[in-house]
Amino acid sequence: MSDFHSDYKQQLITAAGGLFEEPAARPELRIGRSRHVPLLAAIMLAVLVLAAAAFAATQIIGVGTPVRSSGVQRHATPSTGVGVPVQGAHSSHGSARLLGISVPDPAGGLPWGMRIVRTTRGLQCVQIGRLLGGRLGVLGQDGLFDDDGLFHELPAAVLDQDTCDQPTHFTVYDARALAASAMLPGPHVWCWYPGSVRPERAHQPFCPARDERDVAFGVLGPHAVSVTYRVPGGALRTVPVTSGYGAYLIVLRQPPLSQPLNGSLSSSSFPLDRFPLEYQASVLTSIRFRFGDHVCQTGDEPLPGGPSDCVGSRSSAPPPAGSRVAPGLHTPVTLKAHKAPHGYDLDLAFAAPVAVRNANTAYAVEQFPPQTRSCGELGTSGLPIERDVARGQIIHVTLFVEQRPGCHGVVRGRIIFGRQPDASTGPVGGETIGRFSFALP
Amino acid sequence: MDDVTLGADASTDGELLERTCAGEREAFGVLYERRHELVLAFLLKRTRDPEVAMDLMAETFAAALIALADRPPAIAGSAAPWLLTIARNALIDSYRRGRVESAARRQLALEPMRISDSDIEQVLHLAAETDLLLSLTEELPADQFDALRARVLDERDYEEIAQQLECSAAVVRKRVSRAIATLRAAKETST
Repeated sequence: MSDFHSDYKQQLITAAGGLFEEPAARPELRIGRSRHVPLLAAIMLAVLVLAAAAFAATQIIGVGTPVRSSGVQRHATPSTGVGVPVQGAHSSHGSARLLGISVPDPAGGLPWGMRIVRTTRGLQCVQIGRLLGGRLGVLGQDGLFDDDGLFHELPAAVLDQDTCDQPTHFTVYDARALAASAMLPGPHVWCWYPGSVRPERAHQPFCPARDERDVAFGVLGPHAVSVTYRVPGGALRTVPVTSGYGAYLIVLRQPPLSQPLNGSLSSSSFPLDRFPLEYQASVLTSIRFRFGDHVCQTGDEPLPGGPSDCVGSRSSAPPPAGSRVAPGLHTPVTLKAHKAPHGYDLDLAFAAPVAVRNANTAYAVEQFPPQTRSCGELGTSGLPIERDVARGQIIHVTLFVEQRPGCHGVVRGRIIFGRQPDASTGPVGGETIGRFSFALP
Repeated sequence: MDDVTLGADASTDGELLERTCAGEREAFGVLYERRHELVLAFLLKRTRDPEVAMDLMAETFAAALIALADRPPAIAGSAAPWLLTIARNALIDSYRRGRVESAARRQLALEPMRISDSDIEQVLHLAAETDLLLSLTEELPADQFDALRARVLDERDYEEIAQQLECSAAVVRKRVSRAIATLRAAKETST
């Protein structure tokens, strides 16, 4: 075993010891241990501290540099990927709308807010963060922005493709163990959940006690009325959603976790006219809708004595324009092969028989390598083409075909076109509009 | 590839996981020793970049350790399907982020990886020597193999993944690019 593997194996062994050693051997964390002080003095002190903290957080907080895009969004263009906010979206007007939602933080300080951004590719993106003076942003804490304690505005253009979806969908998000800084999970930062067992080698800080949140948010469409969720302790609470978008935002203290969790974002997405909603991992217990005079509810724990189940109910939302893919489309595909390391690059070109005007539809290339043992039985692979295309435009795609030693046979492929169920997965169940093949020499 | 089922320790993978949960930390090391080549071969096939594959392999085992602590899987024999599923999820997550995630390693406070030229060379050698499907076919019952193949091995989007993935910030590169270029050229010539 190489040095790398030996070192890494030893690190895993050490980490396993930290996770599975007997509880008695774990270092005791002393977070929030109380002192014996007179009750009245303690109450007064607590009131003063809370007031000071709230004042400091809302009045004195400074403003730092805005959040910048990371990952694939650094290269976003108006006609590729999830796109960019439509023009004018850098303000709170136009296509980027800061919703009239202001949710207090469980520990005080700046409230939480939510913004909906429409993109040039027809997607609906959701942003959440802390609110300061009508602006949405994140806080320089929990390891973010070097813990500078400042407010950093989250521009509408800084989109996260994981919170973008088709506007014709219900979307339910849940960010567990989200740091109070409000930055959604990503490569930016992390700290240890308070109370977790930190291995000996750990050098990262603990998050401040009770500094993590369970944040549920989503967009449920114009027929949504309210959401019901469970607060820590077990009680149920119902809050109305916003009119129009049917948006909601819930911010709770993160209940104790069995394991340290560095923030996770789960999402569930469904066409607006489909019931029941089978969302996953959310604090939501039920959602109430109104279709004309008919009120119904859906969810894992319907309210006892509440309205009937929404199964059978249908939204009046029209199907999205261009959602139907006409059968019988066909386009010839040209192919030029070039030798590449471990295989061939196939330069494919075809004329688009249908325009792609947004992320609602997409083209993709699929390849089927020879299914022989010598070729590795690699299975189908695909390449979605996430960009706008004019009708008749020649699309050029380079597809790599692996060739293992001794692998011979014919690689078959096809061009497909169809609806895309979310922001970036490519067409699902699309029409085959062209085929190609290449004999591996 | 060596006998990945037994190796130096005669315990099954499932038994190694049970022993890890019971506090025998070395058992997870045995599992790593036994399975890292399989996971690497799987990831290398899809990324075609040894550095990215090693990065993802490291994240896979860290995520497996966390998953073991959170919700121990019910594994009687081979842990290959479980590990490859985690590897596949790590690959897709990284694709969605545009870079290899290191969240699991950060949670476990694992140190940055230091990859040398010889490590890269070993991975490329491994790719040439390992027949992933053959290994799994010989090891897994037919129903498990079919399920794994349908769920994990036949995937789309790998080309785009290969084109867009970046290594995590936790990777420390100390390789000499010239040496690697020479090595790759030699392999290309040989094929």
